[in-house]
Amino acid sequence: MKLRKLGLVLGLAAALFASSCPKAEAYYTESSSNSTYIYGKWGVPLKSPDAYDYSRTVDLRSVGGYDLANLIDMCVTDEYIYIVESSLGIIFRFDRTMKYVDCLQEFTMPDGSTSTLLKPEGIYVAPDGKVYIADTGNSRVLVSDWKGEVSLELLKPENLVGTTLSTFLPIRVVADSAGRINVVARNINSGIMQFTSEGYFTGYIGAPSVSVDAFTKLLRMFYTDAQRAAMTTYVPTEYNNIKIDENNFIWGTISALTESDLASTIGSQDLSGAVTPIKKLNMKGSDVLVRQGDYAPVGDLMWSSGPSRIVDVGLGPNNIYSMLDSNRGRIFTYNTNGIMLYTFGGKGTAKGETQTPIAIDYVGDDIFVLDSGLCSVVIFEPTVYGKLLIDAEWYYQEGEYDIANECWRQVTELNSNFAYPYVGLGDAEYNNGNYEEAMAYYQFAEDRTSYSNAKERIRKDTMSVNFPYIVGAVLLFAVLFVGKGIYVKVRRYVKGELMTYGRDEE
Amino acid sequence: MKQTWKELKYSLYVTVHPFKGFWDIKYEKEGSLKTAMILLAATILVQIISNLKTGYLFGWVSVNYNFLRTVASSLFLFFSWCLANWCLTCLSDGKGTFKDIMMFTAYSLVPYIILQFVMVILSNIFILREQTFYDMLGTLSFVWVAFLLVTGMLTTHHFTLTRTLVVLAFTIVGMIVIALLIILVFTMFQQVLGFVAAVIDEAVQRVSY
Repeated sequence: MKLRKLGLVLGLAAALFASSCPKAEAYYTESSSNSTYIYGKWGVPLKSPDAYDYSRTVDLRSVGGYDLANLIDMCVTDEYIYIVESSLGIIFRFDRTMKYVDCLQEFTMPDGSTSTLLKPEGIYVAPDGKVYIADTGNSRVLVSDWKGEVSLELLKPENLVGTTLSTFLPIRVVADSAGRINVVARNINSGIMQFTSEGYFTGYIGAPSVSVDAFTKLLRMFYTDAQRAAMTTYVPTEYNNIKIDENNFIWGTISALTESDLASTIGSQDLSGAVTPIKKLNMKGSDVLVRQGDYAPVGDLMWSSGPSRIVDVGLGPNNIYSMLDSNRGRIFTYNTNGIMLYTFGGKGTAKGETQTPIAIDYVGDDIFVLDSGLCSVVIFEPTVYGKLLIDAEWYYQEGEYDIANECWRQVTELNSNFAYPYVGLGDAEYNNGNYEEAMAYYQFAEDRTSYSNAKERIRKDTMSVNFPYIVGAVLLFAVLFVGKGIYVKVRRYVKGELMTYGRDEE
Repeated sequence: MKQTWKELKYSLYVTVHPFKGFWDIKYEKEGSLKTAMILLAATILVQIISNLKTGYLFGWVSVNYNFLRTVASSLFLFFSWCLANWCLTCLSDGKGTFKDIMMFTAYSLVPYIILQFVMVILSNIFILREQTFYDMLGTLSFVWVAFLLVTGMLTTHHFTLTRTLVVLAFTIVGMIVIALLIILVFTMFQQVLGFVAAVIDEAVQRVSY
């Protein structure tokens, strides 16, 4: 008997210690490249159907009689695709099926002299056909047309302040629809340099505002001027690439981020964008990128060989955007709300893998990745699943919620690991007044805020229907309670009276 | 039966009049070990209900929830507390027996039982905006229980407040020591059993050849 009791106690204690917490199971390791995945609510990679398929590789080692070796940037317009070869200093033009058209090598300066490029690194071609070239080796930015007639030569601005820049090394350039020129220069960490269309330097945009806390301000009061000068530090935001979309938002990518900063941003699910490899800048230069996912768009959330190194962003259809990771060759795609849609790609020599991915662009729905290592362009095309995601975004943004929801429903059938569509389905049910169904979807998507809202509506409805009964019940209880009190008092009084009376009689 | 009912009703009185209540439990036969065990069982039951039935907005129900886990951890906490407290109060001239300690501890849990039950119901009614009230109730239940534990210890052992607080701190240390010892014993048992199993396995293999 005693032994059995001991056994029971031991058994219970064993149950206590043996039952461990549910282990976070990594379904995918980062070594399994080239398969599509997304990150779940808990920051763990989850399997996803392939959203993009490898289509073909365009070999660019020999184009138009030139031997290409050092492809560095790509720009896609409605008609053509432009690729910069850095060692030769030539810009090649292809049509949108990557068929070679022609190239641009010689430029005529405004004063009539001819000029060539020296190690150019960036190209941007505006919708009006103006070509903007970051001619890095010559420390200038050229604005010309495709005939090579240079209309503007941007040199190192004379009114450059706040930097000890010796040589001006522009690496990427874009221009907005008003002709304003934005330049990313190497070794400048104050943000993106902005010039007017006439080439006048107006300042930097997109640098983080350095916040000074109260204690530092207090300390500064006691510092000498020399100390104060030494204290001025810049938070490094060295942009490595910029893109511009049709609404004149500038998308900048940053790879100069420390591993620990990124890890803490991911760990704390920080959505403020203080540490971010991507920014969407408005005219004023403030970051307006929407970060509504469980994690900010930073690329991989788990890694063993360093965080993702974002080198370019491709602006896709329906405000979808894809970030290119040069560390592991991944392509991270997010929608307009910052929800990760899919991740694929990898490094290697197999089909659909890249060696040194350096630029990414959307051509229609297809993704073109410029691989400088293999001197080629790798083309991916959307699968049925990928097309569904693109369509769902389209219909949603167009306000066709019913069709969008049909798309999302199909997405959930293809990928049960993807929680985001359930929010959309829940919203649809919510808008139709089916709060119970909406709650079920929200619970599936782990969206507690929306769940709470739906619940509030249900509660309101039940309350308004049952309000008379509730009030009635409360009143009844109150009456009973007070009644009982009065009854007891009266009884006691009467009894007391009687007792006194009786006593008196005695 | 009637006596138990009376004692359970008295446990409610204890929660609001702890000094007199705990005194009466020990010296005026207003409480019993049986009632204490009922209260303990009720605590565990409420804990299980809370784990299973707390509303989605406030709860984190694990898919592979096992109620034995709750039972075991609650029992372990209760008895390791009682044991550690008994060990320490014996050394520091406490006047309570082990039975007294079990009784005052179990009676102290009454606010937790009631408030946890209320919280389970409210968690299914409240929305996220009212989370503050929900959290407040939770805090209240813990503070109340802690207060009752302190007063219970004070009254049962005839301690001063300072001594009570010191013994309380050491009791928690004692609980940790007990947990460590249990883990140690388990690891050892595992090793021994593993060894015996290996020997038997070896023997069977040898015999069968």
